[in-house]
Amino acid sequence: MNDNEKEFENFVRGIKFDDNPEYNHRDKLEQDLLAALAKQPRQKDSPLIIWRTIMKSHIAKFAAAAVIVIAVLIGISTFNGTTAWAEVMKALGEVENIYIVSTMTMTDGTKVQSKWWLRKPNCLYEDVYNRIVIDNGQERLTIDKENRTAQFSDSFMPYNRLEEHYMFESINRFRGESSEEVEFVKLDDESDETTLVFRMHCKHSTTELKGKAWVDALTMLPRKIHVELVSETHNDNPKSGEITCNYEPIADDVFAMVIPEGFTELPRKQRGVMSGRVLDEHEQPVASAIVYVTDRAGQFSEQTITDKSGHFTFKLPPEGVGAPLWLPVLLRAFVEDDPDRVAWTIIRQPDNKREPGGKIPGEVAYIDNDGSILKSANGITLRMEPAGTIAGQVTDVDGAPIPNVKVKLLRCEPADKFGNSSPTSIGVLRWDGPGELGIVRTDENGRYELNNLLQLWKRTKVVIHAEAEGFVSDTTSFRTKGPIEYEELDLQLYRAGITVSGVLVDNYGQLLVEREVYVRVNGKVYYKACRTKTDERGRFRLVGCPITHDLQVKAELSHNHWPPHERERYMSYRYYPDVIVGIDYEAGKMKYEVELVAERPEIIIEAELKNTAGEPLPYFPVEVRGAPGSISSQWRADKKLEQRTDKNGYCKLTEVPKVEDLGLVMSGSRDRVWNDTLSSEEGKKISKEYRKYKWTKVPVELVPGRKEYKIEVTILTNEEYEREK
Amino acid sequence: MDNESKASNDGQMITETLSDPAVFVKLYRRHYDAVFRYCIHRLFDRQTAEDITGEVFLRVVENLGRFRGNERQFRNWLYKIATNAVNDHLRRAGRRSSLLKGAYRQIDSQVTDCDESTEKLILLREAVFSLKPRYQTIITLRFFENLKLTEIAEVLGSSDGTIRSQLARALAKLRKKLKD
Repeated sequence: MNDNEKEFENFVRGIKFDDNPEYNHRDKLEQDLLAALAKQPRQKDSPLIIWRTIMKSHIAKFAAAAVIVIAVLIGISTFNGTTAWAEVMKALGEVENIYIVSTMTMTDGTKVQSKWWLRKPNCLYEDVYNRIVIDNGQERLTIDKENRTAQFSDSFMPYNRLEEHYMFESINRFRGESSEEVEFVKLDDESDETTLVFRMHCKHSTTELKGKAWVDALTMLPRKIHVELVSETHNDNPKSGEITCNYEPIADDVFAMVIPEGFTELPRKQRGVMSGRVLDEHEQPVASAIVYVTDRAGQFSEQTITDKSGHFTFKLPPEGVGAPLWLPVLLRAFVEDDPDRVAWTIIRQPDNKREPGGKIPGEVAYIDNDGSILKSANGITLRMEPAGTIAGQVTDVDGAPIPNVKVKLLRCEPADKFGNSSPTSIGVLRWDGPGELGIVRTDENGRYELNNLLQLWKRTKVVIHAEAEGFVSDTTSFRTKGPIEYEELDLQLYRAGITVSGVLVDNYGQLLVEREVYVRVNGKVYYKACRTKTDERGRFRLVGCPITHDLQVKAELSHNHWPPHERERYMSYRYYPDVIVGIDYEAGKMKYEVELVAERPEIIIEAELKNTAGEPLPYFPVEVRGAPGSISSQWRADKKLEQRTDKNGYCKLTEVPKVEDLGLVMSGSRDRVWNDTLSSEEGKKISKEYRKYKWTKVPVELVPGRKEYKIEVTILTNEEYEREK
Repeated sequence: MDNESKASNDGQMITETLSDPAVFVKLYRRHYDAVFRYCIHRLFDRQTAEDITGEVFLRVVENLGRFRGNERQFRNWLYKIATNAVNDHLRRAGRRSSLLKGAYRQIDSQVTDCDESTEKLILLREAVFSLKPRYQTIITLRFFENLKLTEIAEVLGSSDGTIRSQLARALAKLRKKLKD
């Protein structure tokens, strides 16, 4: 790093960013993404796309080619409800043993063969491209035909289960999927009592395929499938493919671990290990301590117990498995019945320079990592230190204790070096242990006690989740003042049971479809528990809502949830102010019907801007503002709620919503507005000139029934403003 | 296993299952912070960063089928999409004004503790926004996301050498700005 870089880094250090997203932003976005994912045309799964994309990857090509042949045919399985083929599908899904030979013919005439023997639950023989893999659930042998080497390792099966093998995966994925681009016909004249013959034809954009499948009439399992590419193909792509399938039980000797003659055996591939010891405050080993580990993503979560000398060892998943250990990794140890002590450390990426904001205890002598994936870590020393406790009572709204509530620590976000508590400060995302470790239940008095917690440092945002049958599960967060020593946190759960249904319309009677509706109580939003979208008739139904007088239903209309790539829907989105309606709760009544009426924005504001000398201010930026959060920036941009005045200092803002604290903001120092009429040079020039004007906000007093407003604004210069003050 | 086939195996893991909501959610949760942080470091405004983070992942959903590679490449791919999304936003919004406005909003809300850090933030923001988007990207990836030069090169589809010289140029400009 040179001097310039160092200097800049020193400068950057200590700058505080407001880098905490809104507390529910991540979860909310997740919901939106899942909705978008579901809406995605399933084209990525369509066999032809797979054909095309897989061909781009040189190595995966041959492995996948045979899958494609299956997939193409399976993809068309339920088309037209062809019952015969649906049965083929069903049979395929229930297969216990399958032996597949695939022969691909390349454009240059060469043939490539691949073979698979798959036997549920955990035996695999795979001969693809230049590699043979044999895995019998205990051991795995990888034979490299090119380098003529062979290597043993532990089985992948506990991590990559056979049902998730791409052969079964594609079978399962395409079951029940239909595609309109595929034609599938049973050929009666070619079929007989023992074999049914199907013809397929498939066209997707520029790719065209045709093929045939021969199916055993008795078992309804395909015996042979042949597919040929009709359209043009690139040189290194297969021109046609044929697979044959056999479903006889596969003998054990297929999975025998035999190294072919002339092959060199490489030393056994060792699995990564995470090992170390637990010591007490006096450096004495702690025996029988429970040690547990959680990786960042929460994919790897295991526990073990220390031996007499305080040692512990975790075996890490073999390399190449689909469930690696993501850094940072949180390691904790405690002794049962000793609630006040804990030993811990966080193994972070060694080259991660972010300071966590406090001292992470524990030592790691050796870390082997591949970027953010941990391969092994040894010589870990965990020392016991005082632990924190969070305790409290869980009651219902009337103060009655609720027994048997599951309480767990969801997240801990200690302040980073800048004093911000953010999920990124130490990077640990999951705080519960494997199984039920870390989850406590309330006693008959509704009391819970979360023990053996890390004390951490400075202020820490703690997020606690509580759930109990018959109640609306709740997530509560609070910030500690310093390290977590003993914190009291009482939780209140609402009984669940109210059903709110209704319709969402605007004041012109137009139904608002696919809009988000959720439940609020005293400003707290129950996104996870009670949220839905209106259907095509503008109707919604929220089930299991909290039973309380303060129940409100909110329709979120001020944000455009359509992804920008769905251009038409995105652009035609109509914004409204959010609608919040309280429920008139009557004791004992569990079903409510509400009508949410959104008010179409149709206020028109004409504004004329002048300076104190009475001269008009041309091209002055003007924007509509409401109470915080009422008009999204997206809305302002899409519906031109910010503009420049014209050359006479006049502007007209239409479709302005009726919101609280409605007003206009004029800020001369801005040099760009959304959909700007000026070029950036012109904007810059004019903002230089207008910088002398004071930032001005003018409220718009709304009069019931009136839609048009005219406002004359005199903008003071900063100087004039100071003088007047 | 050699590197190439390992990479393709990891990559296969992703491509085969990306459209599976459970897998997608896992990846999303793993990378949300990084994307959000990158956005805030580029945009200096929390709300905009939230919006753009949303846009980035929607673009990801839209293009899931096109992604090929391992997890690391996935992260770089995210940075690439985020870079494009941020740059698009800057272009659309007319970068200086509306972002400055946003940043002012952020600073307004911190008026109570208008300390050295806040002042530095204002300085930094103005200096960074005076750079070309490409330089902004390089600066942010290098100093805030702690990416190595090779990784930046991967994200931007360029060579190490180019990135090194661009970084030097960007730094020189920044330095000049910060000294003014």
